[in-house]
Amino acid sequence: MTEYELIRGCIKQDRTCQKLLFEQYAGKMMTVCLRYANDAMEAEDMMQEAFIRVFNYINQFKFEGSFEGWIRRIVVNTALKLLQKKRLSFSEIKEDNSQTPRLDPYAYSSLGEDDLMKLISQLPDGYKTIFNLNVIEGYSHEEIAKMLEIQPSTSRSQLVKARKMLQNQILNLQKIAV
Amino acid sequence: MTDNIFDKFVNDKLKDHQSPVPEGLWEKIERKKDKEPRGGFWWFSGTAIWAALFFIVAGIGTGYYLMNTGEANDVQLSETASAKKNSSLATNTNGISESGDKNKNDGVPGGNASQDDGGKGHSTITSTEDELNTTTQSTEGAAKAKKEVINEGSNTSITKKLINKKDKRGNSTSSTEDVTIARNNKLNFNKKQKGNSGSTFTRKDDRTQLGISQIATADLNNTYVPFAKGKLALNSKMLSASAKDQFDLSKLKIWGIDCPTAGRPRRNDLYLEVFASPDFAMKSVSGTNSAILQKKDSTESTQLGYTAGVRFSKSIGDNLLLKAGFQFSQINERFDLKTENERRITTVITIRTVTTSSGSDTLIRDTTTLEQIGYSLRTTYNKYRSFDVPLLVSYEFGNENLKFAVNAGVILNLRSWYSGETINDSLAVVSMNSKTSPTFKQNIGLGLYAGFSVIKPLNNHLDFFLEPHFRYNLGNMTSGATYTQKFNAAGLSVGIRYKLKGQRR
Repeated sequence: MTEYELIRGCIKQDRTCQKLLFEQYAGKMMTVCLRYANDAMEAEDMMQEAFIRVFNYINQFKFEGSFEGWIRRIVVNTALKLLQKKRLSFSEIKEDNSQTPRLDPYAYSSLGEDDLMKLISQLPDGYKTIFNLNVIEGYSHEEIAKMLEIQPSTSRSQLVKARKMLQNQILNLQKIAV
Repeated sequence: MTDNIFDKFVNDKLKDHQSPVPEGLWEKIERKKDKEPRGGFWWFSGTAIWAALFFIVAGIGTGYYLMNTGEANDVQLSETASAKKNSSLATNTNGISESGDKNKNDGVPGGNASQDDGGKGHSTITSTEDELNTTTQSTEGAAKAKKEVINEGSNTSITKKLINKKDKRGNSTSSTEDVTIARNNKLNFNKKQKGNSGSTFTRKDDRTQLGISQIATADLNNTYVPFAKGKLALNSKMLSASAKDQFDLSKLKIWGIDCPTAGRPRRNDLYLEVFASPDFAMKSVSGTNSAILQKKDSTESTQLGYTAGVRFSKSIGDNLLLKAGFQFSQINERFDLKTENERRITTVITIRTVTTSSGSDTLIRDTTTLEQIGYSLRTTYNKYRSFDVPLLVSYEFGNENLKFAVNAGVILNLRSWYSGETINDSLAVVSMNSKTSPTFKQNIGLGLYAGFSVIKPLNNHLDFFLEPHFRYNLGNMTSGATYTQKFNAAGLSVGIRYKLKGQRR
């Protein structure tokens, strides 16, 4: 079944097509949810909400652009909505001002996806959200500012700090490995 | 390392990464999706919304029109005036005639009469409602007048308030009356006397206002002239010098004026209606696949259904009511599927005991099969259930013994659910709830309702009613199938309504 047929079937509320669509995109979207959520349960809630919205609004898909991108936007927006219900905060994290040692690419090249997921999930909510939105989803700081109703400068500073914290965590991992 | 390289590394790693999906997540989504029907009952198509709005506005408009035209014909006034006059009283009427032209509404009745009251006048005017009782004594003459406006029609009651008059000079008096009768409309009654003294009577009701002026150069006794549709009914004979003069306005009708408030308050009733109805459902199936349509036609037959519910009914005028409540409907359908050339194989085991030559018994089992060829008949009773909110406008008319009402409005479906069996696109028999069945909507949207009620009051608070009605559903109950299906229903509601609030009859 082609993607077009699948979408048409979902528009007609065909349960078989809906299930096929879910199976096709659930893995990737689960990763998205896990990146934003604090735990697996919260990620599961995000997935439920997101896919219900996908099925409810699929008739608004214009067949322009990537369908996966369209679903991903819904998933991300749903995740943000749920996070904002929990009052997502962008507080400044107190950190030491020492410079992060230079991190060579080889230091992280061996990192697997699951390791990266764990490291990202350990970031504070604000850092994690902005890091995900900018680095992985590809939103600009202006777009992030609009989505989260913050200043673009806040987004930039949070990203820098998130990245720095992540790199520190990778270095710590290296130390443990040595 | 630059940040960009690090970012790109993370992006490449996680952009298309897939995580294991928890087991049972799809089932949870499916269940939750079913609980949240798409858009609910507000998710109507634009056409349905406009149709509903048009229906409601048309219903209210029609009711309002009927209320204003129908009641006007019920207005009947009767005025009895009794007056004692001095023998010297002279009555003269000029330019007053009675006309049968009832359609003429703009003719402000005018009366011109003169009275020469040579003696001391004593005038007493009594209202039937005791709202105003005025006694007027003239220094020179005496006259008594009693004016009453009696409600002769069921919807009309007007009481004239009185007229205070002082004529110190005892001369002829000219007066000007502004008479307004209150009904649903507001009414002023003014009387101004031109003379040494004058009095003004004003009567107001809290409704719409209508003012009619009357000018009469006459004494109160014989110049109390009500307005009428068309021309004024004032006959000089009525004003004869007899002890009692009567103005009989019972035949006069005033267009657009209904005067119930003088005799009774405006209707402000609240009813609770409980009803049940057998429903005759009419199924409509359409589609492009003729094989399915034929199959459905041959296997499915609608049966008697029913509706039961409660409604609150609130009057918003003397005749107009708004109704809203809840109702449950069930449409029954019989599904008969006859399958030819059915084969049934029966296994038969025969056990025998054989005695061998040695004298021992041995059990022998013979297994054979028996094949029967015939047909199978599968019968299932399908049930299409719905829970709805009726929003109706009702126009009620009639008398106290028997009333009638025209009802129209919309039925908002809150939830629909089904049980039974049907055939799917592959002509296979499937349960209505199975995944392979055509999708039956959990909300079928909007329906239009029209009905006619016959209401028989049983006592002061309780009415019995019969209401033949018809319900037309705008939307289909299926989606995603090669055919569309919907039910319309006609029925006869039988119910009682209890007056929770309002005036006793």
